Amino acid sequence: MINEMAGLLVVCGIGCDPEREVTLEVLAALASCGIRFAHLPARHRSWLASRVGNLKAAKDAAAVVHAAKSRRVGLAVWGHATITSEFAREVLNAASDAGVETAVLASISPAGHGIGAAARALGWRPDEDDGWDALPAGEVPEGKRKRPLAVFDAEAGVVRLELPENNRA
Amino acid sequence: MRDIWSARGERLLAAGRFAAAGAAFAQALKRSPGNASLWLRAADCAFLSGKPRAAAQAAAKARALAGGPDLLRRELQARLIAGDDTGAGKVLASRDLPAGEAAFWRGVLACRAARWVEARRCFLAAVSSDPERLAVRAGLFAAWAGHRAAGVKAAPKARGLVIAGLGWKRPRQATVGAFDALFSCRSLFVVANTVDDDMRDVLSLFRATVAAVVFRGTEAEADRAAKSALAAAARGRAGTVTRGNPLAYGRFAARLVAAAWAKGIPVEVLPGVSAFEGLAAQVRPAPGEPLGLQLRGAFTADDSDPARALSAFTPTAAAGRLRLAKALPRLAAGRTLWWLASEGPAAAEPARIAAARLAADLRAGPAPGILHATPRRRAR
Repeated sequence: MINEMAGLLVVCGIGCDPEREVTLEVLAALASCGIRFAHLPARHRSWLASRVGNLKAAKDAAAVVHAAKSRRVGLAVWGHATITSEFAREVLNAASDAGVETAVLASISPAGHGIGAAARALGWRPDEDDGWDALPAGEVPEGKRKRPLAVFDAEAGVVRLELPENNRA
Repeated sequence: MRDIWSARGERLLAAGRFAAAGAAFAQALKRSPGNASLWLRAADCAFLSGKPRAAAQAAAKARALAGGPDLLRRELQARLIAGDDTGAGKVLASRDLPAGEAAFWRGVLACRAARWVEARRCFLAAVSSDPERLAVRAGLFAAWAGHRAAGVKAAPKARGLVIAGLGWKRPRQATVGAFDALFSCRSLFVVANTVDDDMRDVLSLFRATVAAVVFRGTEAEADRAAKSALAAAARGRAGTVTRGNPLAYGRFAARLVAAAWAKGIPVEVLPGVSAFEGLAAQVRPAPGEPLGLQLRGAFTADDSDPARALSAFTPTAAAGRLRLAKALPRLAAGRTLWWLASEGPAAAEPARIAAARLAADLRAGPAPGILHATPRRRAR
């Protein structure tokens, strides 16, 4: 639980649609940190700051890790830290090299977001054996879709959903 | 004689036959009306049968008989879930609770009245209190109250069905969207194998009536609850609450979505953090590993990209064993998250053994994948 986390560097995904998808655990953890960094598009950063307090723009992994050597530091990234954020991965690797303890808080990924959003807006028929793919923009293979796909751009903070033609209500 | 009825009640309760369990505990109480534990069991059964007022009365009886902070908390939860804010307020005012716990419950009452700034202040006052369970919950609820105090743009729709997940590790992984949506509902349908203290605290926050608890794995009960939920959603705003992400391998939620679309009822799905996202947070990807994730069900052809993380789900132990053998190299390479959900205690055992063996093999690897086994209850 939050009070038990030993890590000095808490890496938090804020989901793909933060105003709905940020978790209570992430808000509580960020609010409790002495320094908060954000690697987020501007619109998400200002919204999150209204919930947890000031956020510094995180541009350099080494600076984030350096700050975490002496204090409890939070880092907010769009989406899910280990699935969508190259920056969060860079910070985690740098922290590991520097011997700084870390904790990663789970959040909603483009696949989880897509599963909810597709049923909400597109009339997708959920089928547990369909499977889902979540791929970065620019790495999507050409051709017909076999299963639903969430294409994400973490820098812009957006997800586009593509459903197979035969899977609409 | 008392023990026979009580034991029968426990068996029925564990099997999800809440009304029958309630009748058995009622028989036991005829013989032993001064037994607070039996009254508490009766309260559990009434709540799980969708009778929150009867649950509140039974919980009050248990507290009157035995006293103590645990029973007081149960009475407060039961009264709030039954919509008896006045009664809960009186109980809170008349009892000598530790300051932190009293602040927590004042925060819950303030939330229900949408007094967000006061609610946040009360929860923050409880953050450093004992027990730790309460302190953690207070931190989470303070975060939500603070979010509400800062303002929420979207006004809730007057009618429709909300399908909300509270996360793999609820309530900490619940989203603000799920809490916001559930707060605006008039009735709630809870999908769970059991309703524990965590869940009761969460339900205490919302003003909606808890109309039914759906025991997972019982098809007839699920059908009845789905019909009730749809009827309630056609009249006003109704919500269903599940663990995890309701549509990630959630049959009940999938059935509800299809039925609601067919009837033209608006559906709002609020995903919670699912098991695959929880497991992915525990993995440290190697430098250069591609971003993204592939999800596959038990019977999907595995045409996944071997360089990218894969998360696979198997609903049966047999399917799990077959798929796990093929997945071992990927697990060892750290690119696979795998979870098993077995169909019952007997079926779960081979899956647990397979999982333990694989986990032992993987511990020697440089970047092990993650294997997670979840036993499921057997369907009646």
